[in-house]
Amino acid sequence: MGFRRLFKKGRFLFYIGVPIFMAVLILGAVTLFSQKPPTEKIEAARIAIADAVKDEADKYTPDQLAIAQKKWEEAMDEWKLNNEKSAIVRNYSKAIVFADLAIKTANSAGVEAKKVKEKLFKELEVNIAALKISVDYIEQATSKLPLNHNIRKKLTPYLMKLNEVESAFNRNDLLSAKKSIETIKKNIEVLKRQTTELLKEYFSSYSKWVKLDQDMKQWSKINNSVSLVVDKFSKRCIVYKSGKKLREFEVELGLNWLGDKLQRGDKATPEGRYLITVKKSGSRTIYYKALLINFPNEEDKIRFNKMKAQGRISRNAHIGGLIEIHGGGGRGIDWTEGCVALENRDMDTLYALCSVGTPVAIVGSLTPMEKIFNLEDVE
Amino acid sequence: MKKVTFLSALVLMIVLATGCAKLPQVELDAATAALDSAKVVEANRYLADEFNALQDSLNSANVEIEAQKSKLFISRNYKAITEKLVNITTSVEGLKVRAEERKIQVRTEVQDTLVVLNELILEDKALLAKAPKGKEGKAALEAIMNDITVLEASVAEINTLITNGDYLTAQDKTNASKAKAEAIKEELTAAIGKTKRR
Repeated sequence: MGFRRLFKKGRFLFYIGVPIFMAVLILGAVTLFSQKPPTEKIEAARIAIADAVKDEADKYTPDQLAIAQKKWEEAMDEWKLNNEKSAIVRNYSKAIVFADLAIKTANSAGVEAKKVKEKLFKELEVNIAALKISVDYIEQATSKLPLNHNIRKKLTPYLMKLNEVESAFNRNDLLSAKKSIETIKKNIEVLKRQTTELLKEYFSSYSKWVKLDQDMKQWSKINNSVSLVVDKFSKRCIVYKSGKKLREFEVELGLNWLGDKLQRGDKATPEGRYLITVKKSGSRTIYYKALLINFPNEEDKIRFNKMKAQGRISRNAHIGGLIEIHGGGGRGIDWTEGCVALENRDMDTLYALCSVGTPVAIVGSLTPMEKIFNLEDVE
Repeated sequence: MKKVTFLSALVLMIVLATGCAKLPQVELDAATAALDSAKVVEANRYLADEFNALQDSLNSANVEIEAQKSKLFISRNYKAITEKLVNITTSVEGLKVRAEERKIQVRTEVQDTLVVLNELILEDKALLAKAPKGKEGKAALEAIMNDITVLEASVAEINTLITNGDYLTAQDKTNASKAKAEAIKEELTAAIGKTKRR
């Protein structure tokens, strides 16, 4: 009885023990002979890619990042393929090679992305600042130029685009900012150069203007009388009496006052030395009161004929005339056909001070260009 | 004896069944689909950092799945991965909602600024009408009229960008146009101010 029980117990242990033993033996052998999975490598590659994405490699080195991602996917595919095989025949060497390549490329993409971003940021920062200086300069210049000047008309779209660039830059969208800035950079620089050239050309007569001003002052001193100087750039009419500045009035000029008057209808205010030839008031003028000057003078006529001969103005062009210092001003803009307009109350004062024969010098500016515009900083 | 054999076989089957844990394929597909749908609502553009973090979590889950598959069948355990995948899907759904909210917020901001911009353009036009009258005034202010035309063209571009759902670019353009419209208003107000002194 005792033996049978023992035998039964033995059989029981045999039925349980042998499968377990065999299973442990097989599993042990499989564990012993199978290759270690590439978990650490592939995980390291994933982390390297995630770090590269954090460094914005997707934006700044997208090609490198794409290669890293492809290599990681290939490593994963290789791993998956091997996982479907029996444990003892698995071979992860290819997966490890792909993972290593992914790590290397991702690390390089991350480092490069940081450099590209840093470089782009600095480049944009410098370019935006430089273009803002250029735009400020053009705006400052155009605020003093005739309102309808071509430079002003051209500036507006670029100015708006520059604001868009800055907005994109501020929200860290450096690529959009770069794309937009490239479309306007050259144009703004061209506009700045044109502005500088225009101003330099305009101010090339500065020494002549200063001399005209001194002549007027001297004339008033010698003759103990009144002389006038109209400074187009500062939009002022200066009254000299006995060599001293007596009064100063704000004036408005011709629509295209910049530069000398070339022909009738150009809406420019002439530059040169003139005399008051007629004083008009009441029904003789539509602009309250007016002081007619002797435009065109001899110098104007010579220049006009020379330009006509050179073909710089049309053969049918007319020199124009009827340039006055008159009332009706104070509109806040330059609006005349070439005349000098004062507010009516100022015109009353000026009219009373002047007489037929009073000399009038109309000059471009009495302030040197360097004092009005900081050109050196811009250049 | 048959009972013992049956019992031992049952035990082995339970061990095998427990060891061969089920691959969370449904959860994996759901998380992948969720991330794809997040791209459709531009979560990768409006909330890029969060989107990238979730994409990386999905990659991590894939690595963990393969790591489990590399193990002996009796030691595989997908419980933690399943939970992770469910969490990713839930988080992506939240991200989609926040991305939509952010888009709506940007769109609302753009539309609000656009309303202000349109009002400013109307104000500029009204001021332009008040500005120096007559043919001289009209000619003198041609440049400002030109600027207003540029602004109106910009409004048309902004509307196209809004229609195309490119709210961030529209926002840049709206802010830039608003700044210009304000500058014109200031310029015209100053010119009218001078006129009133007459």
